[in-house]
Amino acid sequence: MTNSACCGPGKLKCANLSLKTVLLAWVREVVRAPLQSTLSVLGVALGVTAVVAVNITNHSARESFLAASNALAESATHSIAGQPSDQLYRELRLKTKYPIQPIVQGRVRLSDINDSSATVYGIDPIAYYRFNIGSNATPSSSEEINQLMAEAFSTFATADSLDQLDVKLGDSIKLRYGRKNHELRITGLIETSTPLQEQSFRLLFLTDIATAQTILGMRGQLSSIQLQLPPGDIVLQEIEDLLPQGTHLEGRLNRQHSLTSITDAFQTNLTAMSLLALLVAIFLIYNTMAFLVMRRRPTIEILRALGFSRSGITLCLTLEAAAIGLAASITGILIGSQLAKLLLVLVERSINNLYFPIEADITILTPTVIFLAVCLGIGSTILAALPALREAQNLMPSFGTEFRHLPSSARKRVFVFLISCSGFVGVGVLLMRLYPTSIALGFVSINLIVIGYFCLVPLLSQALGRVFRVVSKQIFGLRGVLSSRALSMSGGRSSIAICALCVAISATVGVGVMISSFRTAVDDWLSDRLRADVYVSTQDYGGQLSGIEINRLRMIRGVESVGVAKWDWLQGPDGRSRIFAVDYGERAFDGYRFKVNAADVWNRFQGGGVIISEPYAWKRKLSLGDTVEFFRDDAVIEMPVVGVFYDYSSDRGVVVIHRDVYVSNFNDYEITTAALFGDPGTNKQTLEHEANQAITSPGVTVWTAGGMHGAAMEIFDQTFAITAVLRSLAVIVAIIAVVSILAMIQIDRGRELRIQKAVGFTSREIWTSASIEAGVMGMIAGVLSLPVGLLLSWLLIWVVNQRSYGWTMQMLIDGTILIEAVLLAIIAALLAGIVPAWWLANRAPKQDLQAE
Amino acid sequence: MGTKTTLGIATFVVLSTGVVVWLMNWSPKLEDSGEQFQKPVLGNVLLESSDSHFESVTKSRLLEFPQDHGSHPEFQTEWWYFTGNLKNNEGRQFGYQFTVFRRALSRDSPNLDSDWATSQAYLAHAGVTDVQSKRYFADEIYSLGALNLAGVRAEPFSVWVENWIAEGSAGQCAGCLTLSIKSESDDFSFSLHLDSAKPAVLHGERGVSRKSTIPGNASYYYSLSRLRTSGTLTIQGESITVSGDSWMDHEWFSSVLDEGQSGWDWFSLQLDDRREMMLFQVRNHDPTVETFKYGVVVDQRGQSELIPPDQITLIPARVWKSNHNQSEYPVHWKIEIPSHNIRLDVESLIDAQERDDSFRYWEGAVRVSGMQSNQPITGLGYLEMTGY
Repeated sequence: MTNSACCGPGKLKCANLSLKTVLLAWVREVVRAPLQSTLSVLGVALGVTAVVAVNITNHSARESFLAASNALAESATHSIAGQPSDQLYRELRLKTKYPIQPIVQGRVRLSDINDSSATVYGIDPIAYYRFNIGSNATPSSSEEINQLMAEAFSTFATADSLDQLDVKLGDSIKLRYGRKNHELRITGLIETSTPLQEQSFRLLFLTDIATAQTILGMRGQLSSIQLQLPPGDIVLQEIEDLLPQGTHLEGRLNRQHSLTSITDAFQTNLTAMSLLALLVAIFLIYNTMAFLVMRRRPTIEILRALGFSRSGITLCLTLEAAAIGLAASITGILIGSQLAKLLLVLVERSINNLYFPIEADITILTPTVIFLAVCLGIGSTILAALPALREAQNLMPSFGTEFRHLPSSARKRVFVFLISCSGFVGVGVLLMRLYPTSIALGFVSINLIVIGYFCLVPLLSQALGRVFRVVSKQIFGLRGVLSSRALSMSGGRSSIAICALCVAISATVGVGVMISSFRTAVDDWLSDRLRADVYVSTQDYGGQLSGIEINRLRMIRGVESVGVAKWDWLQGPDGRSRIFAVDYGERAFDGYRFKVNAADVWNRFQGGGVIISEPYAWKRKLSLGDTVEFFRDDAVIEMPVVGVFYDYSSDRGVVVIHRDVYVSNFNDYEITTAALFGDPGTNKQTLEHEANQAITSPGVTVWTAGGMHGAAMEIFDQTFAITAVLRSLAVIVAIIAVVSILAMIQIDRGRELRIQKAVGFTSREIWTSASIEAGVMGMIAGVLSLPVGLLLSWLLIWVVNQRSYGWTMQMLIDGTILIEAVLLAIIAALLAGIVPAWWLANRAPKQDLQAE
Repeated sequence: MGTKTTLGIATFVVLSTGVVVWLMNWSPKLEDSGEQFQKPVLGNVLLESSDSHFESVTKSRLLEFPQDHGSHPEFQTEWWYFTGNLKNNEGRQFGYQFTVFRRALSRDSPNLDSDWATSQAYLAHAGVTDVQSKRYFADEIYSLGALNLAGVRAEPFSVWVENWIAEGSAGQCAGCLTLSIKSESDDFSFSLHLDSAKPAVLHGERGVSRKSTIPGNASYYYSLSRLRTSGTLTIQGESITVSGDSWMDHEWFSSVLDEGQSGWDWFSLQLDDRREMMLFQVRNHDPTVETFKYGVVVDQRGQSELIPPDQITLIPARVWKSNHNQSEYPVHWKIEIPSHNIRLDVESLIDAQERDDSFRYWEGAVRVSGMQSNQPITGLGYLEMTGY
């Protein structure tokens, strides 16, 4: 390679150094300090890890969910929902020419396997094949599937499901729906070709439609009718004209959308956490690169002295940054995908608790994630290296001269910081105002406001630094002064360290306060709501309590009254709604805490009004005075909203109707839940025991209010376990950031320390001084993180939870969380300070002074 | 930066990404690696006996009409076959086919609390041959015999799958029917009126038609060998008024073919002298084994006369190669019946009349020409060839 090759733009004077020689020298420099390179790689890699892990987790959870909902509907473009009838299917077959297929599906309990739940999926094998010709949604071969029709109660399942149930082909499995027990004989295997398919068919029993209707008690009814429609509004109109009231046509994309939007809110929260980790990661990456340039300073100076061009230096540094970025991306992807497995278990648990059962144990590493990781790794490393590169380019051959332009320029940037701060915060607030319902923009505005605040951190930390200088002078004397002065001398660098730590700690404060507020809200809500002493409810799909059982419950000694209720779904013009038809009496009704309610709400409720939960009101934009509408046969029943109550039981919302009103409107006397109110002083455990004796239906659970409360809180804690993991991840990233930043500061201050050593400071004194410095930084970060942490929690509560779940709650500031946060910051900084302090303290002054 | 360096870096990036991908055992979402649908749905099970609980055709029974026009669910398979040659006023020739197959998947209907509970599956085939423009159209539909989407009724007679239907009432003579047939597809449809001109012909021994030397491999089988036909054919939007003659077969069985048998060639010929002739042979996988043959001649009054099998010679004269699977169908046959001094040439009106849907077979309109005792014979008919 010739000289001219390394001269970059060509305007600079070239030296007699070949690029090859310089690169070799550079590589030797890198190899000489492998630990340092490793730390750089690790720093960047951690940032990548956080992003990769969350991305994979989100993607995998979504994929397995979609796969589960689409496994058998791959060829459908549309679907008719709202419990269409057999007759509608017949009519569509005769009046339209498009491929259609009927589906009957429902959840059942497997009696032999711990009452775990499974899906019965009924198809018309002949329509199924006509429908799916050309697609690969094949559960098995055509001849075999005809067996489903040949034998009543025969079923197909995947080999995996058989393994899980410990049965083999030809065996029978016992299942229960409502009070009826059935037995399915496994006569064939569903063949799957991908792990996702395998997963989505897990514990799914494919049966003939007649068998499914029999098991699920759905004679004459279908769950849905799937259609393959060509594009065009005329076609849709043609179908819609045939639909009776209560059924509606939905596109596959719409259907997927409405299904995925269920988990959207959850995933958005997860993404928010990963963005916080990313923010910390970017600080970390920037810092790592700045550190790197500083380490290369002597080499650069020598090269420059030998006449090597600036562009050559830039190239060498860029290459090193790229190599670090690449290594970090690979490491990040590897660690991230492992971490994703852990996260996925937690996500699965949360989704199972909150929404529906999924088994998301397949981590999917998509090209997008790899691309993102590599972009983040290499791209952000090089980008982060830019300021450092500029600094390196300006390095002139001047041996032994330390550069101190950074702190001073940081001071000069006060104005810039202030402008940026108000800019970010301004845009953030504006976005929040303009788009009050968008979850995504809610996040963007939160991030903008937080970044805006961090623009102030350098200024605030300088100011706080001065305060600490005074304080530490009082406490530690000269060492204190030296440490805190050193801190303000290296202002630019320490600000970054403080910022990084601050971001991480504020995230823990924000999330911590949010969760504790939420937990308290849920706790209070449960205490208010659970007014009865013992609850008896069916856990079975299609299950119900009999009149005899209710009477037996009433006869229990010590029972003052028994309230009854039914959970169900009702179809209305706006889709399905979860309804709770309840008659627990006025005392229990007082347990509803209303956000807004009509005067005399109890009487109005008894008189035909409904009360709706806050998420229901939020999602459907309903308020007092509006009406909710449900179909009954061919009529539409309208019911006025007489109250909106706080409720954290579901983010889809619920409509509560007085049972008498429900029965008279819908002629449905079924009971799924009973609430026992005991006489004062009755032993709840005795009641629970007696209630258990009174119940004969299978799949019914009996809870005391306390037990139910405890179980609900346990689910709550499980749900937020993943948030805790991500929180820790952000803290770990921050600690590593602080380690490298502190190391950098110490190296930057090398000359000062060398002189300190030379004038007789002992290693211990230097060590103490470095530790004090770290502690001060931690404290500054801790204190500064509190306002932003609280801001963050406020935003999370009011923006995210409101927008994603429709839940509002009081923000409760728990003092221990704040104290913990500051302590965490100090401990993290001290831990981070140990390595560089030790390294500095143990260097022989002679070795240092030689360089002077 | 030099080219070598750039290449070096690029290679490194590519290789290391490759290593990561390999390490992660990442596989892009598999593209439709799943097994493709095996085409025949009812087709390849139509002729296989799978359930020994069904009755087999071992003895002759008295066929009674109109009851026997209906369904016989105690037998596994049943079909109602209508074929015919039609002309418009200008003499433009057309052929048509309308068939409903019934297949029971088990002897008894499952006892379930559902209107879907049935063991009967139905398949309907329709086809139209436009001789002049050498076009052939075919379509099929199938359905479970539930929700009244498909079924059979004896009196008044009706057999249908969705909107495709053959329905009518009993005529004056034994087994006679007056029918209307309707089928509708994207490319073609027909609405025809059929009226039997001759009583039903019971094949074999009083309706028991043997298909091999093994007892039980037989069907109950009768034909209405000539039904005067008129109506409308619509081909790609063009509506054509037509008239001509049709042939109806009704056959039910549980098992017909031996293991060694591979398929059959079946001829229904309507001669211009108002006689009809039905011939078939069941071929063997081993070409050296003699085929199982059957033949009958129906005279002008409807009296049928069996042709001794050893007097039937069927010789392929020309083959046509299918576009679908390279099968070679003999579309021109030379037929000799020495006992009746008959020599015939039976040749397809157009060659490409192969069905390629649930199961593949050739079913098409043919022209008949030849001599009987020095008298020329002409006519039209249908030829069905399976197992090629």
